[in-house]
Amino acid sequence: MARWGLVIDLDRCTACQACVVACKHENNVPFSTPATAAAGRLMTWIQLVAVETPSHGAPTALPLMCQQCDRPPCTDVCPTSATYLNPEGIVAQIYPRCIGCRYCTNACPYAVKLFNWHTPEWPESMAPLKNPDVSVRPKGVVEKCTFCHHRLMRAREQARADGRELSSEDYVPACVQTCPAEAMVFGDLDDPNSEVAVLAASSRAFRWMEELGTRPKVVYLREGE
Amino acid sequence: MRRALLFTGVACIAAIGSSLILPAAPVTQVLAFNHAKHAALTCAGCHAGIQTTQRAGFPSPAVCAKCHATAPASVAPAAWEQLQTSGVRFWKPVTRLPEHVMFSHRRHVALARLACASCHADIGERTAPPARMPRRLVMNTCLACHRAEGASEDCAGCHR
Repeated sequence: MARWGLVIDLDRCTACQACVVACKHENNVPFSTPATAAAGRLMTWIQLVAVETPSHGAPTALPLMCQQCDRPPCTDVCPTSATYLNPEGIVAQIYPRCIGCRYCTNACPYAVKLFNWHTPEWPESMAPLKNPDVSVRPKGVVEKCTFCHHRLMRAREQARADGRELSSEDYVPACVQTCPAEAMVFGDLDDPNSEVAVLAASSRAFRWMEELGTRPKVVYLREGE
Repeated sequence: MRRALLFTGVACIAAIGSSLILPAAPVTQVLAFNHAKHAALTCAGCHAGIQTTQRAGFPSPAVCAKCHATAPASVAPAAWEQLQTSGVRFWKPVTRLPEHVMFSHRRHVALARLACASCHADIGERTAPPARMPRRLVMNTCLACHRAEGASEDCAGCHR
C-alpha cells in the first residue's frame, strides 16, 4: 500500500500563492476576512508562513499545510477518533464524528488544524462553483488538509474501471497540480523509484520541526549556505 | 468547558435519536411512475449514470418520449405536453444520503457488481412512487456489506 508524501522545493517556490487559491477552490474552504484573520481564525488549509531556517539559508516563505505526520500528535488526543492515521498515511478528519473539542488543534505543533467558528459563507456568484466531491464543513468542527483524498478515491475508481493498477501519476492534490513553478512533487514515499522518494532522500531535504519526532510526510528542499 | 462538552454530547444524542425515530419528509412525484410496468427496461435504461458516474441520475422528459410519443393513459395530455416542452428534470430523489457521505454508483454497480436492490430494495416492483426511501440506509448497512465483501473500511473512503 502506498504511503503518500509531498516534497516542496523552496528553491523553486516563488511564493505566488497559487497553491493557496487552488486549495481553497478545490476543498470548499470559505473566505476569511481581515477581521477573522486578526482574531486568529483564518480559514486556509495551506498558507505561506515566513520562517527562518538557520541551517538552510535566508528567511523564506514556507507553504505550510497539514504535515501528514507518521506520528501525529492530533490523533492521540481525539476523544472520538474523528481524526486518525489511515492505512495510506493520510491523517484523515471525519467531520460528522468531530465534536469540536479542539484538542487536536491545540496538540498540532504546526497549527494547521482549523476550527470552524462560523457557518461557512460564499458570495452568491460562487455558490454553484463548490466541489461536489468535498463536503462543506459545518460550524463547530475541525477541518484540515487531506492531500485531496477525494482525488485519490476518484483516481482509484478510474484505474479499476480501466482495469489497471493505480499509478502515482493518477493522483495529485490540487496544490501540486497548480504550482506554476513546479516546486511541488507528490507521490508514494515507499516507492524507491518515485521522484518524491528520491527527492525526500536528497541532501537538501528537511522536515519542518522534525526534532519533535512527528515524522512529517511533507518534505521541504532548500540548499544550505 | 465541561458544560459545553456536556451540551454538545446531549445535542448529538438528541440529533441522532430524532433522526432514528423520525422518518424523512415524504416525497410526492409529479408523475405517478409505475416501476413494475417498466420492468422490461433495465435500471440503466432510465438511470443512465449508474454504470458510469457517481450519481445514478433521473431520466429527462426526452428519455420518456423515446417510448411515449404521446401522453401515457394515466397522465393528462396538457400536463405531459408541459413537462415535455419545459425540459425540466422533474423527478425528486427519494433515496438520499447525508452530504458528508461520498457514494459512487459506478464504483458499486459497475465495478463491484452490486445489485440495485441491495440499497433500493423493491423499488423496481413498486406500482406507485414511494414517498420515502424503500430501504432505510444507515452506516451499518454499508459496513455490513463492506465487511462481508472484504471492501475497505477506512472511514475516509466514504466520508468526504
